[in-house]
Amino acid sequence: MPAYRDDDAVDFVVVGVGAAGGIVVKQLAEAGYRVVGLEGGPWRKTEEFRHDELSVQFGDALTINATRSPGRFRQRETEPGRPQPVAKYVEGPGGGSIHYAANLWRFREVDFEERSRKGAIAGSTIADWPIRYADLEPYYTQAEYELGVSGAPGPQDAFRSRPFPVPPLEPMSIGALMERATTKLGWTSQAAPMGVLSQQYDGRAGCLRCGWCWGFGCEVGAKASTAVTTIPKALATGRCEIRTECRAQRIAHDARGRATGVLYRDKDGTERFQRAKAVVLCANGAETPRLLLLSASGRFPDGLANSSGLVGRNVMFNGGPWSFAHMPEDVNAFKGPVATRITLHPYELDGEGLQGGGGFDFRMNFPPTLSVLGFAPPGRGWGRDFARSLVDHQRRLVIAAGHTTQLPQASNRYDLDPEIRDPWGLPALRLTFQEHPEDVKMYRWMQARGKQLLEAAGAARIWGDPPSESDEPFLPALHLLGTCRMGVDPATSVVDASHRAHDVPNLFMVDGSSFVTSGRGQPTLTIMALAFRAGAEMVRLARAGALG
Amino acid sequence: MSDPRADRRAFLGALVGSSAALAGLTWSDVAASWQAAAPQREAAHPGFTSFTRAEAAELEAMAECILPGGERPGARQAGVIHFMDHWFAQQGKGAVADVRKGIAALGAAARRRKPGVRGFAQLAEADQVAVLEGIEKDAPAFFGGVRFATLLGMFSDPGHGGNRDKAGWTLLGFEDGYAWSAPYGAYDRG
Repeated sequence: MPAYRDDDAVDFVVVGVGAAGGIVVKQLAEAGYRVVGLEGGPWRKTEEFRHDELSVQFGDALTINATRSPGRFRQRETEPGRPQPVAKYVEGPGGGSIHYAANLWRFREVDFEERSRKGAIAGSTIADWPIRYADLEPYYTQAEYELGVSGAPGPQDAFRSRPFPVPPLEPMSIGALMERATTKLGWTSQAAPMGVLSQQYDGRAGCLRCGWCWGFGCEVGAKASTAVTTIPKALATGRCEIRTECRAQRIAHDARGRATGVLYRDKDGTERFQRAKAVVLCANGAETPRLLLLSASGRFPDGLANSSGLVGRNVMFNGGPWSFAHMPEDVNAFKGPVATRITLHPYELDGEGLQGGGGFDFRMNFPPTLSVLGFAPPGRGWGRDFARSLVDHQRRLVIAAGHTTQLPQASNRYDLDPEIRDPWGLPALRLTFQEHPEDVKMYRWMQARGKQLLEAAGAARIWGDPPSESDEPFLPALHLLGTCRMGVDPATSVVDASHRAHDVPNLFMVDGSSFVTSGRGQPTLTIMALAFRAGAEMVRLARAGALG
Repeated sequence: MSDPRADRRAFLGALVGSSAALAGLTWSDVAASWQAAAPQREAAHPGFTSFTRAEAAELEAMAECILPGGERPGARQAGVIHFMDHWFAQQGKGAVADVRKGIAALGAAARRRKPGVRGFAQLAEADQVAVLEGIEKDAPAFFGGVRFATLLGMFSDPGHGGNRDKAGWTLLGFEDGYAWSAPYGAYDRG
């Protein structure tokens, strides 16, 4: 790995080397550019990942904790809110792709053009993307091949130019139940597209079906994190340096309003400045807008690249209406990947008088303490009946996990907290978020259908409360989307179709923040495809001399 | 866990802070407790460091009432008390003192219900349940904290001091393994 000097103006400095940044650095370095990746967390070795929920899930061994990332949450701007971490992500090369479930669904055509198809929706800033499915399709394919996605096409999938690179995972009991349930309801189902290798691929081991996927790192590298796929390839070029345990503090610019580099704190807390010809933010849908807001200056008083006032706004997390059941016999879905079979039958619910839609998987990929604390059957949470309800809970629990759209609203936003500061003295994230009534209607429909699916699967006991308008989002939030939305018009978007900031010609934002609408609840493959495409766009612009 | 020291290394970077309050305790409290649990791997439950034997007996009885043994193991068989003994000590800010106060109140409530008994542990099960219903209502922080610790001690990795002989996992029907193959469950063929 090269060691560039801080005052050596490299071609690109990339902030955040996760699901998006881990791809961008490879694209740039392979094209011959000199790249520095600044990453907040440490390197982690594949073989050091462990099955231990107390340290990993409860103790934030992988994820950022409340000390490093304090925050505040409120539902409305008129409320003072309460201290509460509001964004959860893995710090370290690989980022969220280290601990994700790896449900790698493609979008469909409709996901890019919902505004034109639906028309306006009161209270929502719903808009079309400046790109279409066809623009992204080659990069979906590239992502599937570089990451290694197991799957098989479904009956209503959008066009794909190449087959899946890896055969689907076997359905196991959990997927067979999904097939049984959907057949009974007259719905379609299909193999789940998973970033989990059903067999060896590209020098990586196949999945051992250990079951410790969601929230954990994969100890054999069978799960498709960028740390085991694209990042090693970036490093192999000899042109990419990844500097870990470095927290970006602000983006600097010159008198012409062009980015000059990134001010950051290294692992010793020393303030340093990496010069670069262009800056790429891949810090996720919460930290990317925060970094722009922290970079306000005389020339950019409302934050860098924020002439639209939309930096941090329109945040979406996707909806997750879940229902729960115990089956009469053992399912044992604590073994194997998070999902093996899904239904996308309710992808578009406009015919039901609803906005948006989504899909379901059946799952139970949660370790024991979490499955009891989070998903025990209803009733008093102690005593003989409680203990009895937990007998074989881990073997028989099935969750009908709905994954849905969530409408963008300008009032839903991340901004800087006026009081709370992080350990580096910078204003913390503040989240203001209230569900849109149309979304809640749709979640309720989906949750009721989830129960029907469980019934059709033959469940012995079914439970779960319907979603309500007063529900808070799952916090700290995952799936951080929409906060630097992509668009053609600088008045109504933050980046253009090449992910370039409208206001700063050598500044790019590439991660969930680029989303215009939310998709159906599984955003990561789209984040990855956007990253491959954005990398190609940066190379094109750099070669044309458009970044100087 | 095959190598506790490696786990410990991976864990150290994530010890501090969290505000995800659950039952009056925080995720970071949970995290911090893990460190303390480590020495227990070498010492086979030699005694108690946070509580007297009498207090530990009361707390263990309460944990057993929260997760009673029957056809499957309960909190006592899982050795949850040993997890809690170390875990509460790591909560800081007088957590052990608070728990000891709660235990005293538990004993007092037991004696109010059955004058003459020494404490909660000596009550019949029906009386324990009645007393605990009162504690849940009158001292929710104490009750919630002990319930949370009971579940953590019951179901987390045995390396943390509880879940002895994987008793909690036996209750749930859970098996930890690094590799599985077919058949997975009763429905593999639909």
